[in-house]
Amino acid sequence: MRRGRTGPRDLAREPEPRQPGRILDARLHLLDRQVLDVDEVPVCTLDDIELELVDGEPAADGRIDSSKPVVIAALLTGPVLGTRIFGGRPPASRWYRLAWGHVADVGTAVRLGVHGADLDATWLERWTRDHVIGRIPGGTHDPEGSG
Amino acid sequence: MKSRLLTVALGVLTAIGGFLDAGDLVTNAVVGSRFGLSLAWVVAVGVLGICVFAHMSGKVAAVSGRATFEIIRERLGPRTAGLNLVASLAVTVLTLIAEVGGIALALQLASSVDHRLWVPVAALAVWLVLWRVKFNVMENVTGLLGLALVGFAVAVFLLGPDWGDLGAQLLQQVPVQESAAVYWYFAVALFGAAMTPYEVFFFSSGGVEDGWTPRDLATSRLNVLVGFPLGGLLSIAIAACAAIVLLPARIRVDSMSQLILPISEAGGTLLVAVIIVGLVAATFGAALETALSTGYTLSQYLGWSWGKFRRPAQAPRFHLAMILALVVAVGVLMTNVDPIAVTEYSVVFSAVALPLTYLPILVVANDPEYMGEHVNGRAMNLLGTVYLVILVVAALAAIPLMIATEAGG
Amino acid sequence: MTNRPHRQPPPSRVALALVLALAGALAGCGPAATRADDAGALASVSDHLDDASSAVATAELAVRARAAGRLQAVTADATVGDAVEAATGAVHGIGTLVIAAEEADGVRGEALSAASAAVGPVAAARTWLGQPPSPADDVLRALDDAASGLDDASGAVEQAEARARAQTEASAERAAS
Repeated sequence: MRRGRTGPRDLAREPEPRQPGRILDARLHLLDRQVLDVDEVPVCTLDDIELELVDGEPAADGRIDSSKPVVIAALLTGPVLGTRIFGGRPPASRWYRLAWGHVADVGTAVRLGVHGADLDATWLERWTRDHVIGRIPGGTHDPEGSG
Repeated sequence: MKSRLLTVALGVLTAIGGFLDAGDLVTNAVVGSRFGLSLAWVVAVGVLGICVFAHMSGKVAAVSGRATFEIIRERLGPRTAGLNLVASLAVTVLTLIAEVGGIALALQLASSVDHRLWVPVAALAVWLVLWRVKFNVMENVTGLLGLALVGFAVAVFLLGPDWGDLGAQLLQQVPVQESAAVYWYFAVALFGAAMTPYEVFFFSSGGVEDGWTPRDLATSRLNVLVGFPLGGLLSIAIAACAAIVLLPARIRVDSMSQLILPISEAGGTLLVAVIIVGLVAATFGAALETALSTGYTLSQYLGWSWGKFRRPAQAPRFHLAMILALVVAVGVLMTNVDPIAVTEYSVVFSAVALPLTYLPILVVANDPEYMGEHVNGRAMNLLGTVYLVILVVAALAAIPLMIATEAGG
Repeated sequence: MTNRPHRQPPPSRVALALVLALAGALAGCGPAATRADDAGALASVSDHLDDASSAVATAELAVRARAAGRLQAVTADATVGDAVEAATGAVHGIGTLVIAAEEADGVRGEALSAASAAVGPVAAARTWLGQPPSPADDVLRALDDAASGLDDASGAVEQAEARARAQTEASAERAAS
């Protein structure tokens, strides 16, 4: 979990042709960044990335052989703060995957091209809305509307 | 188009939460009644410091749209940012407890109904505003009503003190009847109150709530330059009132009601009424600021949807966090704890929170990816670095001083 | 090529340093807060007497302001109500201190009676505020008496404290030699 910089060859080269020549440092530019959906609504914070070999095979047992090029398959998030703070590996079932194809832009935040409400990662948000906040009178009142 | 006066409401409200919240109102009077104006220099140092960092965080928010705690998580990683989160939340929630109690105490002054009965009413009122009211209506109303505390400055003039004597107090060293450790304990407490971390969380998130863009940089700067010096000035005015009236009477301030005594002597019932309105507004504003900061820090650290500009249903966990914080506040106050004494212990947590909050702001304000052409100038970086050193020293000194002096004895 | 921001120290080390500093600060300063000896106990008595004097002075200012029509009745009531609480708190504080030496205990007795005597006039001030307007002279005179009683007791406590300190130092020297 150390955040020292890794060399650009280690991890991911941006596979998208739209931004030729731009190099992203996975730890610096992706990890712990805020993820926003298409309407600029915060979705989650990035906790990890999933890599796979260029020919589509998933990286076996999580080890990346630095000789072969890899691409980012998905961005990962989930209730994994415990292991991120104290170390260890969370079970794979904890992760929610955000497909790399949904990413529209990586800047000061990671922007997705889809609605956050449709993603698995926001189920707790929806649960809280449906079972707690939405049940309190005025929960759907728009504060910027009538005031 | 908002008028020029109202554009500074965010800065005024932020500064009220930092300098004129329930705990600081009393601390300022304690300091005035024990040390005269000999600690006024600390307030000046604190005002400059919070101006520097609030300006940076406001600039980052306006240019990149990222609020402060998102940056703290992104730069420090989950572990160190988590440490900061725990410490900041402790400071903020302790202050929230004091504010809800402070509203109740201020209402007691206006009604003579016991403050314990006002606590649930105050908490409910705070929640209703968080739940329903538009952000800029909230900041304008509480900011403007809080300005009633200017009455303290008016009172200083009405009291007609010996100005030479007051001036001499400014330059005075530790008064003979007090020990150096107590003097420095209050110096650190005042400095910590001026630079308290929830101010930048609130200010930067408030900038996002108000929809600031790079075009609003001037607004941000105006907010900083009007709000914080005003807050500092009023806190010195409170100390001066206490130094003029309470110090000679050998009154050791321990409750909010004693703040009223110099006011009644200076301006009679009318000024007292104005000040009570100001006290209610200031504690209410500070309660809103700390409750929102609780929601902002948690949501930004964990990546939840946040903001008062959204419907509560679109930021459910943010609203749930604030509701829980208010419930905790009422619960703690129901144990009959002295709301003012609660804030004394927040100094301990500032020790961790202060450096870990301001370092990432300074780093990101120099990051062209975030700031583009608006990166910090050299003077700003120099000031920021100097203040980081002061913050670390004050943070390290806070706990030993608190224990040695039994929180000011 | 993106611009690379400053490199930071590893967070775990920063966290460790902070925790160590915190723990060190706590460990180093703990024992200073104990007040086992009599001189220390007398210092506490002196503190509580100051609190009682402050409460009496607060009530006096509030009554004067109210008599001059410069303070609302409800606000004065709340202020004096806080003063009553402070005065009773002081009595409670003095009464519950543990003091071993006989002489110091005698001084504590004096302080206790002075502090107890101050509670009455402060409470009476609150009663006066609740009644229809009448001259405040009696209330103020009682508060003045209470204040001078507290001053006398304070003086006695300070002298006893100085004696106790001298004794402690003398016995420490004897033990050393």
